[in-house]
Amino acid sequence: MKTPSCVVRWSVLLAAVLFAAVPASAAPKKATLGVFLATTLSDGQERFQYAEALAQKLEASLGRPVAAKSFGRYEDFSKAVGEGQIDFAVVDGWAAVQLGSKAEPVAYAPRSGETQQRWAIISTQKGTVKDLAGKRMALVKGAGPADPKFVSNVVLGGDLDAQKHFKLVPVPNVESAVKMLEAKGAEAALVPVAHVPKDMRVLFKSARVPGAVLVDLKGGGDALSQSLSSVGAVAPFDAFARIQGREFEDFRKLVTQGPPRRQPVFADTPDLRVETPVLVQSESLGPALPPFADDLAVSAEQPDD
Amino acid sequence: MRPFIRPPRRVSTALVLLATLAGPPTALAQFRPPPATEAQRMTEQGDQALVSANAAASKGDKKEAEEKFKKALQLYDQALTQEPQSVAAATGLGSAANALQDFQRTVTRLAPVFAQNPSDLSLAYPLGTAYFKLRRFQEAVPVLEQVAAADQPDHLIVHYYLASYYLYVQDGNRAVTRLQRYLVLRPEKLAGNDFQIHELLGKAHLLRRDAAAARASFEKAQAGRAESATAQIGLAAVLEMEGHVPESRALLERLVTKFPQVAEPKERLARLYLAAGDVPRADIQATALMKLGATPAAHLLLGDVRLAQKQPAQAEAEFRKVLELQPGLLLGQIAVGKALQAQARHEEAIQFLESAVKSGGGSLELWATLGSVNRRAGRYQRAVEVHRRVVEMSPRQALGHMLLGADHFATGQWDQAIEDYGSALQVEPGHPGAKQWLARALAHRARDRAGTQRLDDAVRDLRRAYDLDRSVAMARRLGAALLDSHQFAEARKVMEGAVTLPGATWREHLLLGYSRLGSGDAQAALAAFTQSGEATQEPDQRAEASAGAALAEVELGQVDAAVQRLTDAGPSKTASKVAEANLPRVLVRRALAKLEAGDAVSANRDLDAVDRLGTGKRADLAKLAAFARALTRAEEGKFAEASAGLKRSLTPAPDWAWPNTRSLADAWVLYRQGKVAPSRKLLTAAQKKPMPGQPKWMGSLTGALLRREAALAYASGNMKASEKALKAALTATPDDALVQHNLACVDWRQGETASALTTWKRLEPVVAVASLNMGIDAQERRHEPAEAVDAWRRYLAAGAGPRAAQVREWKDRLQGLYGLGDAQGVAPATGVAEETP
Repeated sequence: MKTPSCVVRWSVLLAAVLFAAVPASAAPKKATLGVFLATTLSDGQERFQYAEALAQKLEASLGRPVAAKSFGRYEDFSKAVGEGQIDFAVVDGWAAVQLGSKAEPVAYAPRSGETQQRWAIISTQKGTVKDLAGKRMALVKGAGPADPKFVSNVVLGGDLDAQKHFKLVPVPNVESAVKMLEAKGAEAALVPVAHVPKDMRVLFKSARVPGAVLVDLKGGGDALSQSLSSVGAVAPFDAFARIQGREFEDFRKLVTQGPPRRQPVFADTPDLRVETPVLVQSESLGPALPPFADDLAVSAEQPDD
Repeated sequence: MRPFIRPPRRVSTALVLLATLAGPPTALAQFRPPPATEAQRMTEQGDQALVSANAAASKGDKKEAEEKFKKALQLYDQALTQEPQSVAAATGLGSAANALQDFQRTVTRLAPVFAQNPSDLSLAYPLGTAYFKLRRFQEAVPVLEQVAAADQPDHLIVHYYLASYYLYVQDGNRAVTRLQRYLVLRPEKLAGNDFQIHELLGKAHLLRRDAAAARASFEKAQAGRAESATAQIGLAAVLEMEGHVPESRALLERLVTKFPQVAEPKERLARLYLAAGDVPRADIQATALMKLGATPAAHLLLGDVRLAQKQPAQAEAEFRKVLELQPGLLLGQIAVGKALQAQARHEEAIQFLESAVKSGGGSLELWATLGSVNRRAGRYQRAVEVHRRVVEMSPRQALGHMLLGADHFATGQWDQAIEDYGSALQVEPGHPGAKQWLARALAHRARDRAGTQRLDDAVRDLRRAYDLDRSVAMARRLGAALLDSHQFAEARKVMEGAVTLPGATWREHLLLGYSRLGSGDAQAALAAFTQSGEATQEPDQRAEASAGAALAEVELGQVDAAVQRLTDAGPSKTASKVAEANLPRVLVRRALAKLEAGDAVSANRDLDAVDRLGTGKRADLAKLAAFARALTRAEEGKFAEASAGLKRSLTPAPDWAWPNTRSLADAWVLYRQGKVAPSRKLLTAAQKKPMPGQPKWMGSLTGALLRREAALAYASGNMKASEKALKAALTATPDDALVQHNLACVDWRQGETASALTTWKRLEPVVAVASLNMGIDAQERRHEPAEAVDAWRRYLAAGAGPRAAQVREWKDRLQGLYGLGDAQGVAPATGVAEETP
């Protein structure tokens, strides 16, 4: 598995370099799609194929050439972004947050109808998260300092400080995390539930967290957003789904600031209802009686002597 | 309608009188001093002849007596011719001529002398007697009264004559006076005939309608004698007058067998049968009477029987025979007139009676009949004219007023008819016919008045009518008028009585139902409507009763049942109208009831139904529906629509709104919107003049506003403001667990965590959120995840609230992290992996 994926990766890079070297024949300007899905797609070949297929679709939809760049490591991806090489990208939700304000979330890339996924702390051993105090946990590496925040604030919901509780072991992607666990390089690993190998124990399961996200990196969010309707599904993802309201902003806030402290909540008092007699004089609601004029009738009988 | 005029009695009285007049007068001779002149001498001789004649008469020698009387008459005649002013000669002539029944001579010769000596009783006596015998009563009565006033035993017979006359003209009082005088003055030797006087007295008392005195007289007449037909007939009349008609009939039935040759029992009995509608038996008696003798009375009776048999032509023939036998007999003339009219020969009838009036000098009866015949012929003007004459002739009798009442009744002149019957009752209080027809006339006028929106006047008429005629029909009319004028309590009083009267129907129960409903007793109304429905099998009538029951059910809060009933109103048009008029109202009312329970969906459904049905011309109801709709919008959270709707439905203020309804409704909408300050401002304004039933709800809104204010302040982190509002709420309702709980939340936020925890623990059984907060305290403050998990588990077990999903997540996470409690947190990896890819 490892060899072919490396070959593919290198060939992709080669292709990308060759492609980039070809001078642009004419306007419109070429755009570059970045793909960094270290925790969503576990297979390098799959990521590459996805990037290529999506680029084609976007090209057709945007009416401009689109090149695809697939990244295996966050630092590579982050560097390309920093150098302005990437126009838009499909990235893991947590990574989108780490890109900061320069990444404008445009749409979710749902899988099997789900825009969100749960994360699991897995281990080869029985036990609880509490038992893993001081133990190593493999974690896919992002920007670095922000990585523990995702674990503490989102995965652990603020109820446990990951940095204090674990020794975090950074790895480039989920395959590496599982391998690290198998190789006893760590006692635990944090992976999306979809990537939990069958022989591993799930010690903890997080709440739902946004999965892959399409972000714009050069202020072309609107055009990108408009083109999505004709893009359709690109395997293994479904068609892009618009991000509702401040949903992603809330997630970003949760990652960076953590959940708000729980405060006691008021008991809801029942709403006061209207009372009809208070507002309406009751006699006006009284019955409408029928007329009784017919009862006044008198027979035609006449007196006679 | 003339129950007091009894032709049979009149006929018999007349016949008795005829018999009396046919008999010889019991005259007594008089002594005169010898004359000095030739005339005086002849007079003296005349006196002697007269004495001889009287002596012969008392010996029974009729021939000798007649001879002597003639001689005396001749002598007196000569004397008077010679001396035309001789009182003595005139007196003698009168006595002799009267004895010879030559009354015309007496009148001719004595009248000039009496004119010169009007106070001379010796002249007055024979002259009065002669007039009387000649049936010239108009002249006879004053003269005889003059004689009677002197109270002389010699002139005893005058009292008898007068009594006979008074009986004839049905003046019972005068007849009694004369008869009693007669009994005082009569010599002992005549006492054996007193029974006849007692019989006459009995008849006179009957005329006076004094049943007790009449009975006493007839019993005196009967005492000590073999059963007397006349006395027994009198007693039968007394029984009839006392209202014992069956007893009277039984007595007469016995008398006709015991005295088969006596006419009067047959006649009386036939009249009783006729009155009872037993025409065949009346016919048998009338025919038997005719066999006894074809008298005017017999023909009169048979004619009446023929009339009853609807054979007016044959009746006319009988009545004509009466007039052949006794020309000018009033009853005969009247009867012929009636028979003609019964054959629809109105003009002939009128002409016949007009000529009878002209020739007969106008008896009350005749005038009465003439007027009535005119009325029946449709000549109302003439009828009234003639009947006014009857009133003038006899103003102290109800008769004329009754007749005028009938004339005015026939033309629908209710005011006059009512006045006429009123006058009849004034002169004869308790006159049943007057009572009955006055009540009817009042009912007619009431109906007309009700038709022209004069309901109060109609009610007044019907009250009077019901006082006179306490029948079911009259009660119903009065009840209906009271209902239409919305006097429900009064209507109820009347109808409660009406349903107990014999003959009460479903309709009376229905009216009772409505009057009970109108006076606010829905439970009793429902019972009456139910009874009304049970009292009839007619589908229409049952439908009306059911519609009424529906209205009662609405008042009892059984709105769904009522809507059902009104929706299938049934076949009756009236019931459909009731349903049509009430269904929108009932639906609005149910919508308001649903709103009270916070069920906006159902309220909207009912209001949609009202929109479909329409509110007709009832603008107020339309506004009420719009008002209910606005409140529903607020309940749904559509506050802008709600406010606009309130404004529309309450401008201008409809009748059903209290003066402060707008303020209160707006205050409520603002409260629901969370706009505490403006809501409170409106509430405060409305509270200045609270209407009945409002203070409690106003208090509730005040509390609700404080709680809402506290919640808003708490959410925005303003603990001071929240605390203040909650404490204010607690002063009104210190036992409010929710407010106590929420105040503990504020305390916790302000650092008073221990006391807050105590409060929550205490309230946990009644306030579920207390468990949630105890969990929060455990996890956030004391870092006791196990305790937090327990508390939240209790919270979740108490029932799912809006926070259940969040709390379950918290609990599950803690359980997962710390391996606490149930197996959820340590689910097998395979299961989870499959569940969420």
